[in-house]
Amino acid sequence: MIRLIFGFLRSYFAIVVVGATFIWSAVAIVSHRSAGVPPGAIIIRLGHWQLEASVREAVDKMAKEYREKINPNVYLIQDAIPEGTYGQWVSTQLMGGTAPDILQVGAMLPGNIWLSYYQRFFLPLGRYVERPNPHNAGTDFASVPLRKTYKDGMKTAYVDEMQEYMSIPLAQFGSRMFYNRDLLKKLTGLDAPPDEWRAFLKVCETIRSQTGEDGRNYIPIACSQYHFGMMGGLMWEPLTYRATEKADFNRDGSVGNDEQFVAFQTGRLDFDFLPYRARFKMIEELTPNFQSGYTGLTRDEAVFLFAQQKAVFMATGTWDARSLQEQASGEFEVGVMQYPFPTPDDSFYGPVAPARPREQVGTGFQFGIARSSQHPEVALDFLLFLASRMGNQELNQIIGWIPAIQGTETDPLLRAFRTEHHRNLSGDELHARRRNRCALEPVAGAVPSWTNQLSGICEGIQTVLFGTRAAGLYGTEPRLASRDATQRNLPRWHPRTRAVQRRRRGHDRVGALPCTYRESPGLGGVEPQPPAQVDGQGHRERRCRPVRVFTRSP
Amino acid sequence: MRYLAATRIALFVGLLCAAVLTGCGRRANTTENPGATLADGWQNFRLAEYDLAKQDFSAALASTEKGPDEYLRAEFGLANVWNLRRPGEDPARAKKLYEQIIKEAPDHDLAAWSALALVRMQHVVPVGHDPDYPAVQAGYAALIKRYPNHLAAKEATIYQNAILIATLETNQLWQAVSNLTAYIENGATEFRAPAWSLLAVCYQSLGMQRERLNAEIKSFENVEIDPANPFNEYAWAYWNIATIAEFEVGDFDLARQYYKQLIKEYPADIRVFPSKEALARMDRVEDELRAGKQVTR
Repeated sequence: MIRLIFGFLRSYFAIVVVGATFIWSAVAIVSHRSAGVPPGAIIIRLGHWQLEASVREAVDKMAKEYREKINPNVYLIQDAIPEGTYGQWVSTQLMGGTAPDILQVGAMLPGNIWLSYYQRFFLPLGRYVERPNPHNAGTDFASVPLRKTYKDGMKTAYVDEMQEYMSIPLAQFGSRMFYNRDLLKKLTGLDAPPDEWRAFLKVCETIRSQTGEDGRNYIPIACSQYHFGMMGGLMWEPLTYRATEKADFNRDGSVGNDEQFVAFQTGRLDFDFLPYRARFKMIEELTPNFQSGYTGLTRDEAVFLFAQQKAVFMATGTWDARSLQEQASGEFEVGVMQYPFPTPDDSFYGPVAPARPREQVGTGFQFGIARSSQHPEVALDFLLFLASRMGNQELNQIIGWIPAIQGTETDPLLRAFRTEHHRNLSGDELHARRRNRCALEPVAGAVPSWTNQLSGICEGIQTVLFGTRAAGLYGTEPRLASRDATQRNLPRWHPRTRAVQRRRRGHDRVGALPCTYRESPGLGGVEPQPPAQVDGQGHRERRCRPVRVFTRSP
Repeated sequence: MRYLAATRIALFVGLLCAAVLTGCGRRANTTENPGATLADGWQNFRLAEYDLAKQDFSAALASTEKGPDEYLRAEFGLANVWNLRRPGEDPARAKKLYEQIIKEAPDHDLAAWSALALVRMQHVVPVGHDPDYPAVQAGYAALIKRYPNHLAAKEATIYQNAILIATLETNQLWQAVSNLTAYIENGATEFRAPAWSLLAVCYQSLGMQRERLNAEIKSFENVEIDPANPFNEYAWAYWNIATIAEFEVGDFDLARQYYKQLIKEYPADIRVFPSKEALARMDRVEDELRAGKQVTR
């Protein structure tokens, strides 16, 4: 018998090892997960990619609180998956029908993949967002629809293509300049760094000129390929704001790629345009303050420099705030400042920096409920608990993030992220997250008309294609559905819809309008002249002269 | 002994493969209800699973008698798959199916949509090709005549006039103005905002800025809203109207009204700062003109 077993093992040793390992893993996972969970309890699994210790700790704590206050029979198990493999993991779990009840969504996979997953594997939440959050009972929000309790109106949760809310977001994120308060004091004698551009550069110069114990110069700003773009959005890209004065042909408050192309082609813009020069100048002035070779470094390498007190400043977001605070604990104090920016009286940047940029804070950390969940109502209730005013405040205080719900308190470290800290001296704000956005100059006035014309035609056509027609065709009750779709038909006031429609045009013949352009001097376009007269009420009469424009040929 | 073991393993692996392959196959649609199969077909169509959609529509077609509503719906679904799928489209098959629907049930709701689809196939051509505009225009006209007041005919009206507007020729533009005005005056509730919007484009091409401004305002007033959509916002519309009023028409009062509305209703919008600049600019221009100064930029 023993010989037989030995012979079998000798022949099938590899298979036996693999099988035994699998069984051991399965037993270990099951026993680990069931530990502390009484029989008959409802187990809710939650999958996410936030490996920060504070996130797991916060979710566990909130689950415990939910069990104590709301439903004693609910136990939560977290599946914290690294970012690098989250996409594959979530795909296999969803396709295999073994997905956790609650999944973090919206990133780590391309948007179109998430869209198909939402449609196939997630529960739509539209019907719940119009109802009050039951966990807000007894507060000002007791009768306020869930989506209206959000700072951003729950925009992040809305999936345009489905016209549905598919997730519950739980936190907001923004980016700022973090600094080592102690090192700054030691090297410059300052308690807080200046946020005016020239003064900030001087501080950086002072830092750079000093050497540490290892004989190396201190680095003013720890940077990497990851951090570089983060700074651009709130430092040099807003400088291109004045481009809208030259090329916002369709007057939507921004310069699109098409408008920029036409502006360059027609000579309205070039690289000598002051806002563009200013953008490059700012990068040129700032980058000597980074460590050498920063473009080849990753996020962690910059964080090391900062944590090892070799650099004074580092640009990052709220998601890193608690980690930085913990790494600095006992070593140095972390401060947060707004990005340095030139003032309107700056000799070079002044004309292109009329006000301080203000970011549009994004909402994230959003969770969807899998269709395969055995207890979707419990999963939803737990998410609503986390999205309640008190629940959201507590969750984010533990993690160190900004709450997504109105009327909540923010962690003291993150107070610099509040919008009132973005104002400049005059109280004005320049919303300039994206380059080339925002304004219409005093002089730009009328612009070549083809863009308006084209967009008018295309929008008119697209308007009728998306919504009304779709429901008319695909609704189970065509006439009723058509009427319903008419209500849903959101044509021109919806920038994201337009973008989606534009993208769709490339793939779908529906909505494609064949357009070719030819240059047509003297036709259609006008450029404003100073008004000739003003009537008694101050109304003026315009005189226009033709300019070279592009017109559309059928 | 070894030979026996190897045979057993081969047998085991074979059975395992068979089991796996069986499991991988698409679950047969056991339902006898063609309505459910059609619903599956549309669901797959929406998910861009065109092969599955084709299977579903074909199954529904095969399980239904020729003639009834569900048969036509299955035909229409299949026609849409062949027409709109990428890659793998087959316009000839799609055209045949659409024509079949019109022939089999000329008064059915889907006959009107099929007629529209046939004209759209002629109108929307690949980049680099020109549509046969006279044929397309004739197609839309025939559809509007054959199915007056049908939603498909109203959609066709918009396309028809968009073609006229795209020519930029004065006569055609006036024709579009006439058509669209008649459409609006007829009291149509569907596509009312797009009709006003197209009218605004007409007036812009004709250089009638005051009329353009009025049409833009009407278009805004008739915009259709999904109250559940968090992206509903009128900041863009306010900005659009205000800038036309300021720069094209010179109606500073109206421009002020819309700039102020934007600032008040959307204090966090990206256009707030430039709206404040615009208000200051208009005040400055008026002051300078009243003082008899030559206004320069």
